[in-house]
Parts: sequence; C-alpha cells; structure tokens
Amino acid sequence: MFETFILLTLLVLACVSVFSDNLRRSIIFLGAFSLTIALAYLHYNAPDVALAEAAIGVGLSTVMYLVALKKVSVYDICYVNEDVEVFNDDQINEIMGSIVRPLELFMERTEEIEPQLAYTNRPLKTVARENRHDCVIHRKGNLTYLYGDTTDQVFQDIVANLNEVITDITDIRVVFRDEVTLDGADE
Amino acid sequence: MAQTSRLFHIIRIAFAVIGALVVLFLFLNHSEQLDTPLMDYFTADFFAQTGAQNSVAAIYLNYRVFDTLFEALMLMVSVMEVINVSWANKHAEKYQFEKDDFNRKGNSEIVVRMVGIIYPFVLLIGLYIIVNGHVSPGGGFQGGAILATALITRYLVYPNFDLDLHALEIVEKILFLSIVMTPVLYVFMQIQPADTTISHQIYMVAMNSLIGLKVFSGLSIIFYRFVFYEGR
Amino acid sequence: MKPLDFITGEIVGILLFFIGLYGLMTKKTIVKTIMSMSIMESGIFLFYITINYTVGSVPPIGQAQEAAFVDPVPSALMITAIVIGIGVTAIGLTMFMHYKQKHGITHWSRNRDQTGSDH
Repeated sequence: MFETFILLTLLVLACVSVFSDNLRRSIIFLGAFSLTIALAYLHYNAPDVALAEAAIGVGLSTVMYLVALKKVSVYDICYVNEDVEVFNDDQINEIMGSIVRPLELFMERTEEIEPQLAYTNRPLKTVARENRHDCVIHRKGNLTYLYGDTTDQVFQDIVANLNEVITDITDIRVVFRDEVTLDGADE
Repeated sequence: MAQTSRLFHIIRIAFAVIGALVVLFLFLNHSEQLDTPLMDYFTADFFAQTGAQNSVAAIYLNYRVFDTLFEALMLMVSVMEVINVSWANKHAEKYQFEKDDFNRKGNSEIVVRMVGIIYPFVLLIGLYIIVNGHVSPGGGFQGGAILATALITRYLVYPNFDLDLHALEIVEKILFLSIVMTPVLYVFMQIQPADTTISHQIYMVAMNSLIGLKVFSGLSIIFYRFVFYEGR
Repeated sequence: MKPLDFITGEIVGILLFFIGLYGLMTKKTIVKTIMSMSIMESGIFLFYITINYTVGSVPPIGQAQEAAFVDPVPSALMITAIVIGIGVTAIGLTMFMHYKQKHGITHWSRNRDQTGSDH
C-alpha cells in the first residue's frame, strides 16, 4: 500500500513538473519529486542510494536550478513616471491593472520567464544611463513609451503582440533604444 | 502553420505513448528471470575479503573499484568544463565583492539564526557519513555532497566570495591523483601486510575520506563558479 | 490482476522515462529540457534499483542473517550514476547561462537570424 502510494505520487509529481508552465513552480516540484524518489529507494532497501539522492537531488540540484533561473530568466522592467512626486498605492494599483499585470501574464504564458518590476520617478536619462533595464516603460502625460532593444527577442514579442497584451491603453509608442538615441526620443 | 504545429504536437504525444506501451509490453511479456551470479559472489563473503560491513562500499571500493576511478575522473572533467565555459565568458568580470564583513542586509533574520545553529551539525553528519561509510549506509559520495550542501547554506547567510577557488582546484586534482594511486597500490598490486584485517579497514576509511573530500571540492567549485562567475 | 498491482517499481520507472522523453520533445525552454533529462535519469535509477527486488529482504549491511540480502550491485552502480547526473546538470545549466548571455536565447525555437549573434 505504502509502495503504491509512493509510486503514484512519483508519477503525479513528474507529470506536474514537466507540464507546468511556471518554471519556478516546476523546479520546486522537481525537488519534491527527488525527495519522494529517495523515500522509494529507502523502501526498496537501498539506503546508500537514498542518502545520495537526498543530498544531491534535493539539496544541490534544486539550489543550482534556482540560482540559474535567478541569474538568467528574470526580465527586468522599469516603470518611469517623472510627474509623480511619490508613488502611493493608488497609482501603483492603477498601473498594475492597466499595464503591469497583463504584461506579466503574457510573459508567463508565452515566454516562461519571470518579470521583475521597479518603479521610479527619477528622470528617464539617469535611469537609462545608470541601470541597464531590459525594458523601460515611460509615462509622460497621456503618452506611454516602451523602450527596448531590437536584439531582445522578448521585447520583439511584446511589441508584436502589443494590441492583445495591453488593451486598456491604445496610444503606446515603441522606441528601440539602439536605433534611436535617447535624446532624440525625448522630443 | 498552426495546423502543422498541432500535427507535430499530436505526433509527439503519440510517439511517447506508443513507445511507453511497446516497452511495457515487451517488459511484461518477454522478460525472463536471470540468475544473479554477481550478487551471489559479492554478498557471499564480503566481510572477510574486503573488511567492509556494507557490501555496497565493498563493491565500489574493492570489487569494482574501476567504476569509482572513472566516476571521479568524470566529476573532474565536468568541473573543468564548468570552469572553461565561464572563462570563455569575456563579459563576466569577477564580481566586486564588498569588503563589509557583515553584509547581511538582504537576509532574513530567521534564516541567518537557524543556519547558524544547524551549520555545525550538517558538517558533523557529513564527516560521520564519510568516516563510517564502510560499516553503515553512506560513503564518500554522499558525505561529500552533504558537506557541499553545508557550504551552500553558508552562502545563504554570508554571500561574499572569500574562497580561494584556484587552491581548491589544485587540491581537487591532487586528491584525484591519490584516489587513483591508492587502489592501484593496494588492490591491484597487492602491497599489503600479512595480516589484512586492520589494513583493509584503514584502506576503506582512507578511500572514503579521499573520495568525500574530492566530491566536496568538486561540487563546491561548481557551485561557486555558478554563483559568482556566470550571468550578470 | 487488480489495477493497483500493475503499479510496480519497474513499470513506474519506464513510465517516468517516457514522461521525461515527452518533456524533452515538446518543451521549448532549455531549463525544462535539462529538468526532463533528470527525470529520465531518475526513471532509469528506479528501474535499476527495483529490477531484482524481492519482498522481505534486508539491506546488504552487516553479517548474513536469515533474510536474504537485497542486490547490492545496482545500488553501487546507481550511486556513481547519481553523482555523474549532477555533473551533467551543472554542465547543462552553465552552457545555458553562457548561451543566454551571448545570444539572448532561452528557447530552442528562436530564429537565430534576427539576433545579433556576433557580439
């Protein structure tokens, strides 16, 4: 009975971690899978293998996957609005509903990467000079600008599907950072 | 375009399902129970022949020691590959490590305190598993992996780079050389004293410690390269 | 034969192998491919461990007792295989991060022509 339960759990965890769309979730499920398979080895009287799997599969490889994911697939978005003195919750909620949340959903669905957001009210030029964000959303009056690179495939995808991604705001201008210098784009 | 990708999707699913069914059918209907001469030989008299009470340790340290040698070589090759790939990475300059010794701003207080309590015990169980590998479950590989996990928990608390990776790399190569030399001298060339009851056990403990330190240094080189030299 | 009797270690090992193979064929993320490979490896390990298992045996430690020993040969083989598996995972993740940094690609199906692959 115990054996059957463990084996069925193994199958379910393997399926979930392969078919899940969110990468971080599926890494955690892979760690749970390793723990369960260590239990299965223990049940089949192979304690040496169970020890090795528990130390390596659960500890080391999960941490390595998480480090790799943190280093690679975080998409860095910066939201710039120079008109605002201090960001309060209402404004952040408004941005969340109109731009940020659809963008996050789109990225998780199609690109399988994790977006990371930062809000600032500093001027655009200092932001662009100091930090190298993957994508900068600039709000100026009623206009919304999107800055990104032409070599960035994710940004290309966002631009190509812009009408489906962001439905609330119709007037969005896309600026490619490496084709246009930022000074020209400001005018 | 969407039609063809859908077709490919169905073909892939069908391939996996049919493959699983064919292998299961062959396994359930045409598998025959073979004799186990290796198992009979290895479990018959392993304590007297090798001095180990754990027959798995007896196999990978005495009967089939070639496996262990080439496994250690394999781990060293993968460490070298990781190092070379991150060297080829011209843009990744070495991280600028902060000199501040107590750079713990971003860490949770709970994690820091609990890791401080757990850390010596993790080291202790790693060393115990390495040294007692021949009489109980465990051995060099498992103990080395547990020691490397202890180093990772140290990284969680203290994310500065103060390990000399180059020295660790040289240590790993020297350990690999001694891992190759010890069984060649002791098992293959039979340089052993007349009464082998004590010397067998000394050989087991020595090999387990060497393998444990080798796996520990290899895995920690991989992890620290990973954290500090790759990416941005 | 009840359906729950069908769930044995060897069969689950084969099924895990094919789940991993399916993920290897369909998933386009490179990290997902590496994870599918480690699931395939786990299936093979489970198959090996359970291939000569008899109910009521004891772990192969200590002197011989009344109950039979479990087969120690697959255990000894699989320990080395697990350590090699973590090496393969580390190499895969390193190459993946290098590739992402050089070409900006996290998926297999990207059109390489559009990316500035020279820098």
